[in-house]
Amino acid sequence: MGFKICLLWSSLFCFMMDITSVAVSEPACLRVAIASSLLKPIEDIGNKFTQKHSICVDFISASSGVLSAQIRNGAPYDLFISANMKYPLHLTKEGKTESNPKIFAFGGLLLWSRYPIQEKDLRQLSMSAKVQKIAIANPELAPYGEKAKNWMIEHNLLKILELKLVYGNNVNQVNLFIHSDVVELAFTSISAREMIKDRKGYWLNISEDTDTDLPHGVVVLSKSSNKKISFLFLNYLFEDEAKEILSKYGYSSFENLTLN
Amino acid sequence: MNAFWEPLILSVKLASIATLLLFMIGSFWVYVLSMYSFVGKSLLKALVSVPLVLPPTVLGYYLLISFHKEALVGSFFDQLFNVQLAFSFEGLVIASLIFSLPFMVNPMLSAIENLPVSFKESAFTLGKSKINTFLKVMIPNIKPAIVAACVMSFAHTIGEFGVILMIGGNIPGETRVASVAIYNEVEALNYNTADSYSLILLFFSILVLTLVYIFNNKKISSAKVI
Repeated sequence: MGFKICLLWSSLFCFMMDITSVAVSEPACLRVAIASSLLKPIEDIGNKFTQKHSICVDFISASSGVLSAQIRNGAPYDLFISANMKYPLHLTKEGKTESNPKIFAFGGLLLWSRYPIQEKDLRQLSMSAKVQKIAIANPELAPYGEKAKNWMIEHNLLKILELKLVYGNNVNQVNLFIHSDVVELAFTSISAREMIKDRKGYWLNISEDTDTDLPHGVVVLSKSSNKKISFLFLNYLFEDEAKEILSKYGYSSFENLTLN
Repeated sequence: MNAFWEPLILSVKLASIATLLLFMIGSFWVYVLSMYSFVGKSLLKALVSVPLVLPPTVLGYYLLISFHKEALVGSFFDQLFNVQLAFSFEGLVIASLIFSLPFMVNPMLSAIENLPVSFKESAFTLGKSKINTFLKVMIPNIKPAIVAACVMSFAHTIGEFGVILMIGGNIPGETRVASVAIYNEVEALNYNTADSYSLILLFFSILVLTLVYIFNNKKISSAKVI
């Protein structure tokens, strides 16, 4: 009797192990870890890439800080596209990348407001009672959040507005707050205007033209299981079709530049 | 089409494997807790229920640390099975075993403890061993509780979000289960897809629970025939 039970349990156990191994051995698409602000533009570029090269691409999006921590802990990604160069450069120093990161675009900070807004009234509006909640991405994890916080410090607004701040895990969660209309003011990325097309409200570009604070970097990771295809995708980001999509979302692209 | 169903299939796969494994592990724990008395028994009972009250993020955090290749659990799996636990389906299974354990053990244990002591004692006086008594006398009398325990573990694993997000990495086809996929789609403002996933999960949960209670009622009414 006891023997029969052991037999049943061990056969169930082997069956379970078999099932789990099936889950692992499926062929994987190219895995791109992408900063939240760049999800939609790079997804569009990825679709064009798949059409051209018949290679499927999967996107895992989160804030650049979260993705970089995951990569440091062995996450199985092929490429890392970050909203700044700080995180990819850290990873290169730690030996987690195949080569130096490359800048493929420059981002910019965009302000969304429920009420009509102009640059000169910005200070007054943000301090008024009409604005109760201001959304920014978490400055510790998201480059856009960090930039927003620095902008507020530069304009002597941080101390005053601190109590009104609502933190999103990443820029896409900020976009979610904008879309659900639960905040009056929000600091997001320039791509948000194209990403949340049906949101009423007012947009104000508060980044300077040559905004070098937000260079977006791309790098192939050493953990990649298919480096040849990863570099193919990386180089695709610099082609005309990709640049067209990036400018549609408001980015200014950059020629092949390697930062050391 | 395949990309849409992937998270749902993954959720069901994870919950099924976890429930089956938990049934084996859980029955063993219930056997030890119901048939033996020893020092520290209350502590053991409490430990089983810890995942119930622990915030999922705490569990996720400690699992993430222990899954690291240099840590005890992580290196064991890495060397023996060549499997990295963080960001993998296997890691999710292990996490599910821990946080759904109380849902498997507690219903079975309280049902067994509520059985008349005479069941156990008359079996012992007839010369049956502890394991024989457990399998042939106690277990058949708590069948509705076993079904409830399995369903609760299954449903809880399908619904788990916090731990999976922390140790899973949201990887399509591997760790992007339905609960995480919904969060993903909401963040990407794909409300239609998020709606579809949510409704499917909702109806699935209601369906499974209804079938279980129908089954239980049949069992009870058929038992009354004696």
